[in-house]
Amino acid sequence: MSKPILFTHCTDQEFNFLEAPSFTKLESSTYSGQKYKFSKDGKFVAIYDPLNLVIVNTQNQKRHSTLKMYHTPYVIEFSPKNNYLITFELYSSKHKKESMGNLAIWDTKSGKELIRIQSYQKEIWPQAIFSQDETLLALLNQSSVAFYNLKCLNIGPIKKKNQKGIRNFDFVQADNELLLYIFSKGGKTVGSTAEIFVYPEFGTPVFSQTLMNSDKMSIYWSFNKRCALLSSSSDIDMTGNRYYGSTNLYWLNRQSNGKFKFQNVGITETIHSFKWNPVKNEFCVIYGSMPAKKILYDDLCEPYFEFGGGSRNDQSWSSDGKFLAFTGFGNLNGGVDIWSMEHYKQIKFLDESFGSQYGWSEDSKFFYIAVVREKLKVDNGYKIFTTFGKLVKHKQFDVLVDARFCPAIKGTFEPVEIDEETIKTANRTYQQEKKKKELNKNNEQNSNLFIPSFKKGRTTQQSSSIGKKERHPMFIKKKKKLKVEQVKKEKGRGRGRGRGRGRGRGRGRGRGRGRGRGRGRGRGRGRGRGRGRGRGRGNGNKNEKEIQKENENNNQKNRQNLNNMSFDGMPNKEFLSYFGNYKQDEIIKMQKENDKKDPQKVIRNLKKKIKEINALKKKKSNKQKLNNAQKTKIKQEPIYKYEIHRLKK
Amino acid sequence: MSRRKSKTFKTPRRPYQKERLDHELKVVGKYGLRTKREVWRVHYTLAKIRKSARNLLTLEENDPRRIFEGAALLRRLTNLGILDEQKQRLEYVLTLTIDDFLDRRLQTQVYKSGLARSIHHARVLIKQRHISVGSQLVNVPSFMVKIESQKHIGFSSKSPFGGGRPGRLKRKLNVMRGNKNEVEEED
Repeated sequence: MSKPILFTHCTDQEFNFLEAPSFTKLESSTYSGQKYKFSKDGKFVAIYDPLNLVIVNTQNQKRHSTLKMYHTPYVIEFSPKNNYLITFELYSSKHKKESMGNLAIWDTKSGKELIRIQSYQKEIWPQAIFSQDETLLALLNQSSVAFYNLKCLNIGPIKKKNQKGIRNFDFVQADNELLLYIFSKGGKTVGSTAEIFVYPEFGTPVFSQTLMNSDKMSIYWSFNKRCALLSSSSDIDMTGNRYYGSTNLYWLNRQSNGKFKFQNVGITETIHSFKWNPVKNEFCVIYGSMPAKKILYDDLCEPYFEFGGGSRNDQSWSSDGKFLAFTGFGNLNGGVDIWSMEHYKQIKFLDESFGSQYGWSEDSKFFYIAVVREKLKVDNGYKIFTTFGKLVKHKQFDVLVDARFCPAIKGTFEPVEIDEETIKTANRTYQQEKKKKELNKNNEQNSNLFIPSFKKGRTTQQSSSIGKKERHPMFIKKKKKLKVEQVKKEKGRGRGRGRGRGRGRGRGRGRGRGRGRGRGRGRGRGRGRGRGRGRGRGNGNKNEKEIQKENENNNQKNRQNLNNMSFDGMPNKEFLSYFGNYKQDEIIKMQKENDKKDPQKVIRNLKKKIKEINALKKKKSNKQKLNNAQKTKIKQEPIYKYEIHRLKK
Repeated sequence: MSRRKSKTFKTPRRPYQKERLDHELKVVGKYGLRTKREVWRVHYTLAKIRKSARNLLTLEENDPRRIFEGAALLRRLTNLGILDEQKQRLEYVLTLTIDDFLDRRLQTQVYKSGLARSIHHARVLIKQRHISVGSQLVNVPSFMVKIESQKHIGFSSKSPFGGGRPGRLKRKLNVMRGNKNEVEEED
């Protein structure tokens, strides 16, 4: 049975339905509205127009009924079978004048108001809960929880549970029983207690625990209602570590007794988010400082899998339980990781930087990200992706109030079956893309850098430190010449009077130094007049004068270029072309080679070596003396100290 | 039966050093300790561990003694929660501080798990026999909590916070109120 998947969005004035997979507007289905809320089935939507609540059937997109409101509602909720509706309004002076209450319960078919009650607090929600059968209603007072029979409301409460200072409560059906959860805050010495009761028997709690350090404690049930997570938070952190107070996570498990077992999950750092798997009794927690740890906990509250990846805030499960998406919006850079939970591998990384609402469709085929007016006043719009990351729809608005997929009960859609091979290929492509990104980053860094020649051998990190003055080459002493010339490699043949610095061995008379007239390969320094093959750096068939002229011209050009350039690191095109597209490593190498051939430096190195050799000679000579003395084995007479001086002289 | 005894703490060499006195006072306030001796006790245990680690590091890598004793030392420290699971080398043992040891006392763990309002309240609760680790009631605030037993810290089943009968004073008050009601009803 295939049901169409619907996506809805609502701007300031309009409310629209869109149908998958093409996501085109259904023209018969535009309503004017500012806010809306789905029922838990997904069969009805309640759209709020000023002073009118319109209830619409999602299958037909037709109007079901309207309700007349007196004030704008802060919270709208449906009952599980869609017969009743709860609205909660913020208490204001209007309510005082007309002596009307905040909380109202309506009948959806007729549009009549059944009850209106006064309750002041908005921080405590929920304050009214229906049972799954729709036979019972539970309402919160300051000191009690009262149960009503929905058919005869005027009589009054059937049962009551008294407790002072109730802050949170929950009323849930687990298999055949109805469970009531109450959290009440006591004074300083007594502490605050959390308790769970089975519906009619309020004398003996199935679970009770007292904690001293918690101001608020809310319960999150698993799909079975056999396990639960309690998150207790305190407003003030006495150690002063955190500004917003501390939170703790506790885990409850129902045993064969009927009683609950209590265990601390054991997380001491800040908890960003935790959620149950909608199909299994396992949950995932994101905690710690960025990049945060994401860990999956077991049936028995033991960690068994850790997700890798970047810094993420929040998570959203698909209703199958087959896909998990980690999102990093809010105060983080952004980014979405999609994992498949059958094979525990990452499928895709989406590079999105804005998003305030996100979620899966009930089909678990689509994932949407929306930017909403409450959080951001700019860039409102939504994007819809498939599970493997393709963009299907993208639309921008001036003002977007809400956008989401239509929910559904489990079992309406058939489960998506994906092969292992497709997931493995997706994993491979993701890893390949990851490597490409890292390589691109390195290349981008090198292409933007350039090192002018007066900074020899230093890296940009060393040279670009704050406080150091960088000298313009014009103001550097003339000894440090621009070594632009030497970089130019030319395989010159030293002929004639070329200044070739050749290598090799001379054959003829001149063996290198001085003016060798020999043939062959002159060694090098001085003006080898011979023919030769210099390895070097000769200038070919040119005269000296011409060479000097060229060098001067080049130097002038470079000085001009350096004048024009700014020293922030952005190179001039001509300059770069002069260098060629050398990479940073090669430039440093060339400069080091230049240092070796600098005559002044070579002389210094030679002097060092001479010193070392002389030192070695002395050592050797001392050693030889000792050896010789031992060989002769002359018994020397004992020499006293005062005689040594005489011997030395 | 005579028990074997040994000293567990060592007094500092110089008695009046401003920096040291300030530092020790801060530690005492942060962890809710009673005397300076509790601080010096932790210094001493740390010193002994560091000494053994230093000696082992002078040996060669293949030395059987180094392998055996080094592994045992690391295992002991990770079970107590002082050393991370990823830092399983003798060099990391030399970077430990006193705060790592003091974090693992029962007093701080009771406070951090939310059972107590403050650190001093935690010490009171422990001494007044409200807290048990698993099923064993623990009366000692310097009990070193192991990693496995960290999840099982809670109120004991016999204390009034954990489901037992109310304390002595409350019982007395209930009896007095009960007598009053009876007296009124009679009249």
